[in-house]
Amino acid sequence: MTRAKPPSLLSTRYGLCAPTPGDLPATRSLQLYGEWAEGETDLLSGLITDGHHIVEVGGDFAAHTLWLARAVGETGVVHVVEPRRLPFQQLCANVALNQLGNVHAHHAWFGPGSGMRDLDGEAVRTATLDSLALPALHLLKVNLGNALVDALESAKATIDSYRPLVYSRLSGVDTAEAEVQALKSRGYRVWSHTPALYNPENHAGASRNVFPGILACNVVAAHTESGVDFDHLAEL
Amino acid sequence: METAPDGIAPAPSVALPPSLAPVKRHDERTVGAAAPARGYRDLAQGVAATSVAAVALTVALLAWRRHKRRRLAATPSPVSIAARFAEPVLPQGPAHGPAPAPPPGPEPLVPPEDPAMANPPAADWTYQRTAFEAPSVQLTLEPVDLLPRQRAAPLPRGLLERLHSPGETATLYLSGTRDHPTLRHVGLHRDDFAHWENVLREYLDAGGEEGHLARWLLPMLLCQRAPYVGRREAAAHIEEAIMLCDIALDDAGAGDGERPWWRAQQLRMQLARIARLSGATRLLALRDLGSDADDHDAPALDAWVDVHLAWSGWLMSVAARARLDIADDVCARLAVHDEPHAARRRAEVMMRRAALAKGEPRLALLDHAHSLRDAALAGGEDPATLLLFARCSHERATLLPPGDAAEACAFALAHAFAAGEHPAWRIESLELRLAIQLTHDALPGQAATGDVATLLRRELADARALFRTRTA
Repeated sequence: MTRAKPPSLLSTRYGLCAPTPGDLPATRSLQLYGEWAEGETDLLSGLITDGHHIVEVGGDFAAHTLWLARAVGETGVVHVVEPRRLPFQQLCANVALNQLGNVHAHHAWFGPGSGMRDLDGEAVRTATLDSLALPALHLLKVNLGNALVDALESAKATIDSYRPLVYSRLSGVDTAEAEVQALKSRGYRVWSHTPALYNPENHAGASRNVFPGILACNVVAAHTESGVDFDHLAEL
Repeated sequence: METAPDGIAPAPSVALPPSLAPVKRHDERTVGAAAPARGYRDLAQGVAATSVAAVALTVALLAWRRHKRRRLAATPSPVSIAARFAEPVLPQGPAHGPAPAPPPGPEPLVPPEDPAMANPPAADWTYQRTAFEAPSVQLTLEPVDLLPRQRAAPLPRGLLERLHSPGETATLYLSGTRDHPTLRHVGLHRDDFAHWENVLREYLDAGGEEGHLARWLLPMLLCQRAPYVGRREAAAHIEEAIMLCDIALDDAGAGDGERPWWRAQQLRMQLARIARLSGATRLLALRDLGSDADDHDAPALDAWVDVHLAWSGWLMSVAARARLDIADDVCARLAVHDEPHAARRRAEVMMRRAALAKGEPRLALLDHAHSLRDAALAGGEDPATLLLFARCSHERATLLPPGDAAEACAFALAHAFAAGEHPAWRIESLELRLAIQLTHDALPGQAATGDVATLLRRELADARALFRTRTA
């Protein structure tokens, strides 16, 4: 019996990644370009500095966690919450591969209350962000669809205390208005951020664009008392 | 026909010059005694004739002399200063013999002055350098000579002389000290660098001051050229610049005075590389630069202020302010070495803080920056510092009430004008002057005609027209 040669690791812009089967945009981008949604990290690079505490909802195979962990430095902390089992394991693999000691991975769904929640046929533990009892929170980054409103509900005390910046992918036309309203109702100003998925200056130097004309529909939100103003973005 | 009788000399009817006066000839026949009455009458006539002739001769002589004086006065002799430039004629004699005594001249007509009335002795003047003096590296190396003449033999040309060769468009300027000058590019074209790059590469392996200067300037030149070339070529330029700095840093020993300068140069080249990265990668590259805590010399601390200022420009809000706090700390350490320069850098930090603020806090920060002017200019009025405070004053003018704003505009204009005296800063000065003028003209109560702004626009267009056009 011959064993198939295991696929080699991916060398991405911010570290090594275990190869991930599937046809998700994130996995395709990591394989082809060695990066994923670089426009998001580009904007966030102006907001994050040493010692920041960050919560990421949705692991995206640690594509951004690798960068966030280095961006906050040794004194900062990154919490990543991934409710799906296999993506959670891939997230943990990539965190371990890159020896990111300041990253904490959580297998859970952030939502109000506690208990279990069915997610694509899997029972997932529900937890609140407040239950993490963070000493600080500078950025809440939501990568998963339909997760923003629940995450905000689960973090009332934390948001009231620290008023972090919120960066979130909108879930779709039907829910976008409700998601923006959920942010505004908590005293946030919201701006639209629509980076292209293809980066011509990608890490792999690939010129083939497999995401032609495709933009991510995201929002970035800052509390009205934070003084942060994104002059170059359209406010919603 | 009747003829005159013998023995009667004809009386001259006109005055004749003495040379033409009749003389008595010895062979003339005289009158005999047989006729005494006639002889007396002839004698009287002769005396009278002689008297008349003498008077006529005197009158003629006076008239001739008067005529001669008039001719002399009407045609004076030409005045010449040729004698003043004449080479002294060496005496023809033995080469080492004593100099011949000067010929005895006339006694001086003017009596010697009273010593009490003489001018007071001249003061003992000592030349002192001033802030208005152009740095030596900016001086024209050869005076303009419009007189065509052939040199006996061409002089050997040095590095600076070759860099400033006539015929090359002046788009690159040196300022600062002769050992560690700063390069400034004011053009828009990649070819602006070609001549300098060729010359500097020729001298790269040379010894002495010229080799050092070439090695110091080439990394700066490569970095400044990077924005005008393609991505790959730019990356190669910057990598070469960093490599040159690394080599120089390795060559400089631990106690070498050059080492802090090369460390500063290395930091600035790395910053140039980082500036071309995307935001997220840039952040990590900035972190990889290390910490300013490891550097203690003025040049390196100055470069660290550049790093923190640039870094803060890529950050937002709280993160940017935190980075400026770090820049302030570095300025405090720099002040130990060079207080005026540290004041200027602190003013830059303060202006960056002001850019992050609005309303009253912004004005307060600009006022703080403005208050550092005197301390910063104590080290000399270099154009960059003048422009910094001109810009600061202009920004204050946009926040002040009209009366104070007009005063701030005047202050800003004066500083911008002074900075524009240096050709390297002329265009930047004109741009700022135009902006200030427009701000001033828009103030309430200012009867602005726009004439000055129009002139400034024209002057700016003329200055820009001297550059090569941008390449595609």
